Amino acid sequence: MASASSPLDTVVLTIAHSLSAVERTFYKLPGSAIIERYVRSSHQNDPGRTFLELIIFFLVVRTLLQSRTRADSNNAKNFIEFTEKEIDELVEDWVPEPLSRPLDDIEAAELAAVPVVAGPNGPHPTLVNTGKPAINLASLNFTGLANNEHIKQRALEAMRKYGVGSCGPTGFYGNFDVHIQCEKDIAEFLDTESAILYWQGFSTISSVIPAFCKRGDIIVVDRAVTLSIQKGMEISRSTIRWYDHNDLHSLEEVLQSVEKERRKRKGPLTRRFIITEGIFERDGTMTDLPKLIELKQKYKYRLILDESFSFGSVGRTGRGLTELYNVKLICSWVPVPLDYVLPVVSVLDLRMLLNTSVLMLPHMYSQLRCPRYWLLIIELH
Amino acid sequence: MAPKSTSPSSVFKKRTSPSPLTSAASYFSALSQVDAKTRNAHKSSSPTPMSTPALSLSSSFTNSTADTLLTQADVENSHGLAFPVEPPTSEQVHTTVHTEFGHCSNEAHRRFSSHIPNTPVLHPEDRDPPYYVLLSTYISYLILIVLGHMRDFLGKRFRAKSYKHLMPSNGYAPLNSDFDSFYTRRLKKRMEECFSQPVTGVAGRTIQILDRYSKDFNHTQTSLNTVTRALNISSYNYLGFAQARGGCANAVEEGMKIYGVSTCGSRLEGGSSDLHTMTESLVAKFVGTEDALVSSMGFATNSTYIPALVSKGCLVISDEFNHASIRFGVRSSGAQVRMFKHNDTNALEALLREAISQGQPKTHRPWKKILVIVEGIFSMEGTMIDLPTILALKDKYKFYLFVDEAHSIGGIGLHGRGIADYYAVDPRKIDVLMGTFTKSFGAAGGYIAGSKALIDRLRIRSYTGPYAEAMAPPVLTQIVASMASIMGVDNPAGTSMGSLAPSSSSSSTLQLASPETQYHHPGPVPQGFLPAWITLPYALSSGFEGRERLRRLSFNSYYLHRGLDKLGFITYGHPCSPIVPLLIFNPGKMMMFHRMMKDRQTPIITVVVAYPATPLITSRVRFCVSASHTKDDIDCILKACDEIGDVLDLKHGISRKDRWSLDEICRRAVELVNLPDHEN
Repeated sequence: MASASSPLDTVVLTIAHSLSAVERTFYKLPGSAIIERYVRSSHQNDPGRTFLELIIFFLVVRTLLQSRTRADSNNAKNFIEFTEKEIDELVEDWVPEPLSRPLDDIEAAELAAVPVVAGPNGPHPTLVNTGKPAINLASLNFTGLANNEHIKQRALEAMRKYGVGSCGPTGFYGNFDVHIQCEKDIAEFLDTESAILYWQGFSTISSVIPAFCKRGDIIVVDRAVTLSIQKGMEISRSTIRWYDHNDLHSLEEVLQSVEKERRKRKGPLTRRFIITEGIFERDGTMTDLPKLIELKQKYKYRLILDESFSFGSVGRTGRGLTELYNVKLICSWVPVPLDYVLPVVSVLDLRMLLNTSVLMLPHMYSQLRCPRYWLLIIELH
Repeated sequence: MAPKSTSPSSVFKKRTSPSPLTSAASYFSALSQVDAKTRNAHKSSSPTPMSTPALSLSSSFTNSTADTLLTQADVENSHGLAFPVEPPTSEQVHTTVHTEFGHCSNEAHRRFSSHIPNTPVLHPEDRDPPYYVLLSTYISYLILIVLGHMRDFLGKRFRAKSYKHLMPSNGYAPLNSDFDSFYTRRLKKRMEECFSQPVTGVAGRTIQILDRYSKDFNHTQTSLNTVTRALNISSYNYLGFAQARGGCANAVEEGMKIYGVSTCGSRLEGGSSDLHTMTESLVAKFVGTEDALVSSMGFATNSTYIPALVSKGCLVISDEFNHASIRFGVRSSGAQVRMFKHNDTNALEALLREAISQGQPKTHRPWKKILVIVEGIFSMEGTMIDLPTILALKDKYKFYLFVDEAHSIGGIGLHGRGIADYYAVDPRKIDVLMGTFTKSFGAAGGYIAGSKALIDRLRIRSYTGPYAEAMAPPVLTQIVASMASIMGVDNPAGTSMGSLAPSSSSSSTLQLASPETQYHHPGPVPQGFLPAWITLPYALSSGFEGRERLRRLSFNSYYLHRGLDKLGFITYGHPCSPIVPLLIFNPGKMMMFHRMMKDRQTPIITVVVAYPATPLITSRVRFCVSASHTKDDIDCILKACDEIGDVLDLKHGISRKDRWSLDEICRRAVELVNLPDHEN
């Protein structure tokens, strides 16, 4: 017995000795008391608790070590293991589609038929394609201000003071005093609290919509809205409901059904928007703004109105639909009226405004994705 | 934080405000008169005498001569930005305004920007800061977040009035949810003074900032109605073409007189003019591709043309630090997206092997096409892609390559033609080259260049064509003029061009060049590519000034980058890139840095960026070097960084014994810049 136990004793002794050495070293480390206290208080004579702690610890380690660009397919069940050689063969076999199909004859003819104006554009430009003068019914020169000498002169003065490019986004030293002044002028012109300039009309609404409409919000929109609105809604990932083109009865039905659904689900209150155009780019029909505002207020929606084509073209002094129907869009009892009014794709080549209350403005600036770039002085008055 | 700077007085010295001046107008007028005076004194031999004052002022401004010129000059010089430190000699003729484009005649302060063939591509390693910096950064954010949530929680209960916009009211949900806007309200708002600074004048070497302050904890900013001229190291003005004077501005004036300010319509619907066509062929020539198209907004170039390239069933492989516009475009295209680790070609290859072998998720069908999207120079990192390796991968894995050259076009390469020029590879090996005119050309908008079939398809299929307004004529003219002055105009009369190209390959040889042939610089632009009415001064049309600008930019980039490194700062990116990020880490130091730079005797304006533009931990200040800066300007910036870096404890880069003193860096600048890439 003794002969059998003595080597065992030696082993036990060695282990005990080394354990106490480890313990001593552990207590010598700075901060070991804190760890010890933590372990003791979490253990509390219950191995289950320690087990739970360990699981959490390993989960944290695993999450930290996971690749940031982890693909879904890696974890999915249908990931197929290949050997390196098989992958090489698959790579060898793969034939991608061409990046772009060359134009066929009809498309090429279409492209060649695009009118190109020689020199300045105006009511009677000369075309490069034919070399002859033509009557221009295509350009968006509603007010006939293209080539206005006074505007040109002011633009020249601005160029001589500021150069051409602003060389930076709004946030970083691209916020020129002319931008600020122009925004003020436009807000004053439209009788709204504030305005913001964008560099490209097309990008304005497609950036503004996702800045405010998020996942879960509801957008009720006319079926015939222009592409940039559709793109903005796509990006926003909101719930989209369509109503028949320029049919306010259809709109009311949709608004009622949305309200009914919400009551049924008892979901939280989400942001709700009606989006439509003042004058539709597609067919030139005009929205009945007073009725629309009535509906919007009745059902408590916010209205985003794209006035690309109505600003500068309707109303006694060209202030667009609000002037035509003589309505004021700011409702004193709505804390944040977001009534987006107006881009002009016509003469002046810039703009698109967002009217909103002053309270919101700093938040909005930071949420809008597009930087404002550059601007020539324009006179709106 | 105890200031331990060697010369704290200069760091904290409040700049002398131009208080002797009664108003901004008299300040302007004094400035312009002083400028005019120096110009007359030093540049009487200038070939294009300028009758208008340096800063365009309406006549009412220039009439006020209440203050004497002499005292004005003293005030003006106090910040040391109006005149060069060394006055020019009679041989040195400068055609630029010093405040817009700095005067520098020292030929030693030039450098060529190109990759040495057959050498490995430089991958600057990222230096990690000490752990206490990381820890304090995390704790800072933690404090900010906890404080913010506490304020929200209490505020909503006790000060409901000021939280009205975050709470449902009257049946309307709040426009911004408090969760979505938390970062903006509780973190960004604290350093609001660093953003959206109103400015005026030209965004050139210097810029005038409209002074402002906040009375109500950054909720609103109040204007002081005074103007301060500051050294501008923040604008994307790489080649210094942001000028209100000079050949390009004259060309723009000429163009505006002919074409007006707008073409009134979209490209496919009556808004195309011959100027657009000409610009597009010039851009194609400049970049070295078959064809190109221009789009009126840089952000929209990516966000509206990428959906025309890929669709459902295609895969986009995108660098993790790609710009928001690329993400926007990819998201609206409907294609699948995968990201790879920033600038890591091994990760890219692994991802490609996986993607091609696995095919589309679930169905395992092969991908229709794979498009790899990278940026030539990354806008927040200053890193440069390893183009040769990516092209080798492209040959093997048959993907299509989209390079966003927003920051590299015009800025790098022996001839300023961007990343392909820098590595001397044929640009036609890259399927889609995208870039913007906002940066190096002092204009606005963007372009896409590629094969004719691709560009024609994009012209018809992308929704920019029928919907977005065409580029404005003054912008087009600026692009044409600045691009032509980088390329140089081929004069049929045979005036000496002094071309840098070893073999002056004409455009015809380029047309025939097979993809295997070595990169040939496309050479100067034939006169026929430019509108007949454009007349550029000789310095520009010969391409001499364009080359000078390229070489000055390269010198400045290298000098600032290596100077900061030698001072002991942590910087990111390739020394060749005009973007020089200096790592700050702690969120609290960002605003301090910004303000201390702005409040110096020579005010310097800087851009500080943090999450979400960068990863949370690596807040940084981003310098954008320009050809318009002189060595003295860079010295000034290095001096400021050295002093502020000591105060704010930012020097966590190379070890103390490897560092150089500021004096040594300034003295041995040329030597420092000319060190080979791999020895630094």
